[in-house]
Amino acid sequence: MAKSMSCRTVKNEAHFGVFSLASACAFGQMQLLLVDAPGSEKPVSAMHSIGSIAVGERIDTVFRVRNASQTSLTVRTFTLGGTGFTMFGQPSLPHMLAPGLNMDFTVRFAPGDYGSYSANLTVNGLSVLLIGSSKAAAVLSADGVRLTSGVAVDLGLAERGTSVTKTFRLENTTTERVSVQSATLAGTHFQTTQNLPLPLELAARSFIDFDIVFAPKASGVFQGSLTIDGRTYRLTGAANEPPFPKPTILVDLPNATSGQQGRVSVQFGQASRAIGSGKLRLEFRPAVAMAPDDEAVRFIKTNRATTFEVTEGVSIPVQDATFQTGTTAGTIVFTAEVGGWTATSSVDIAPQPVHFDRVKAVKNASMLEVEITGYDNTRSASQLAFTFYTAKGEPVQPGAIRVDGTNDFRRFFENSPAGGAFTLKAIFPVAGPLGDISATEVSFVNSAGSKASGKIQMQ
Amino acid sequence: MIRTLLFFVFLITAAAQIDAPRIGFIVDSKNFLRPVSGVAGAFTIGPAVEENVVSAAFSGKTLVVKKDVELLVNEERFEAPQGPIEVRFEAKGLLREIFFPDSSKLWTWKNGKFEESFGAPAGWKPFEIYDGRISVAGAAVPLPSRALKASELGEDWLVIYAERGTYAFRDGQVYELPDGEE
Repeated sequence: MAKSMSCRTVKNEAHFGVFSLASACAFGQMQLLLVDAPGSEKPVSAMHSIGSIAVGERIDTVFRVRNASQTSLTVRTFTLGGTGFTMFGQPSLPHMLAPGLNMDFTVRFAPGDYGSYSANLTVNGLSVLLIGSSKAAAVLSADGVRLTSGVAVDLGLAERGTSVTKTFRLENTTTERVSVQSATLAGTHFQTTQNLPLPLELAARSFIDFDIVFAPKASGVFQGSLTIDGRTYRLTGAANEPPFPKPTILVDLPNATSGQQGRVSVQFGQASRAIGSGKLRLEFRPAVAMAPDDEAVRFIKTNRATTFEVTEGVSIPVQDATFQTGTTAGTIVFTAEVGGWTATSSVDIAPQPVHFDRVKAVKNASMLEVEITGYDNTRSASQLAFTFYTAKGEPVQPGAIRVDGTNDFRRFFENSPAGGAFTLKAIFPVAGPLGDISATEVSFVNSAGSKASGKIQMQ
Repeated sequence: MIRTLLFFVFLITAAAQIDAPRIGFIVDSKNFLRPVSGVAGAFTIGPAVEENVVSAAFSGKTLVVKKDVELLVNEERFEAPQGPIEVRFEAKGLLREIFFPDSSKLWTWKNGKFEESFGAPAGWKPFEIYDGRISVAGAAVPLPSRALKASELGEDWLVIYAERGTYAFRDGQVYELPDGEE
């Protein structure tokens, strides 16, 4: 079946603002259409104006070939001839187009110089003359790549508080003098090192370089823009947090025994450039097997863990946090975690004989009361001895009264959350006058040794 | 010759007489009354036993708690003037006097009831706070922040409330007390 080329007149779309007549192109049942918006198409006349742009810019125009016949159509020729015009998205040839189907492709108009341009677009036997024009303007480029308006230029990744710089070139690629009237940089974290001397006259084939600095003061992804004579180029940059310095833990505990309050600090070797938070934990590993936790082993302010804030310039994020060693032998482990770093420091609390915090002895009408408050950090108290003394310092007969408290203390410690701390109240009914009894001494034995209270005056 | 005979019953009573050491009471930053347990340098703070507490003092035998217009003496309640109180105990830990500085009223405990007069007796407290500095028995107590008030924490113990912490004091030694709120 022979195909014939014909041009017919159609009314242009109303949105152009004017109603005019132009010729629409078809070859046989093949139609060439302009896709002017998604879902919108219109016939293309034999001569189609691409438009006018500045040198260095580009216009992409999508065309559509439709097989409007009832039989398959084979596209055998597909050419675009003309300086400043390129084509992409077209199929390899030959290309079979089934009845009713479309084939889209894009023509790019990117003039390298000012002036008028034209190109001949041919599909099979159907030809359209494409025309465009370009006015002389400075071309912006970066890293040797020419930039068209709307594109994004990535300035890269920088640590917060540092900067990265990219050099841009504003170039007159034409043979005519061009003028740059305005250049505006927008974006919180973008800045120039020097302002362009505006208005700027660029001689033919000349250029000027300038730097744009991305200097983020916060972390994240940021956008800015550079607008030169109405042409806007997007700028992007990403900022991450600087790394935290490695933390170290300093423990100030002059006497590493139970019943002490010490200080712990977290220090950096240098002032932090990073901002964030960290955590300081205290873990207690009792030396006594199966012992309940000792609640007195803790930070004063925050029990077993505390969070701390790190601001820029801080070198000691935790200073002198008070902690208690409790009343149980074991190991206190401090762990600081910040910015991926983990530092630990431990303090060993050695087993020790029973410690007397306070011993009080009172005489009542017919009995002696002895109240001992202290701690047994081994939780193994066994033998107790009470000795009473006369005013002359002589032991009252029968001398030391010995008691095996092993089971009683074991039962107490098994359920006490107070670690090794205890108060023992012993009452001694007495037959006879109490007047001559003036002091008492208590001694305890545990797995770490024996300890005596010294003489305690009776009240 | 010493003829005193000691009949020792400790063996059968010892178990019942071993307990966790109780030191006394503090008022935390949210005005809760909380027990303090442990030994010097190894304190624990227990759960709140009273709320909306203005002042508290404990001698080891007598607990005095002041709420808004209510005074509790070992849980016996009395109507009382508003504001904080200062408490003075007898040597054996019994209540002697309560002073209401806001109204300058002095309540003296006699025969199970209070007698009211006006004006605080001079030098009746074991401590003095002036311009953020506290001294006990004439000796300055070093604190990392300004002292605000103090009271009896327990037998032989004082509690000092300072701007940046709460401290226990005994025998010239200062210890930092844990926070009740966590």
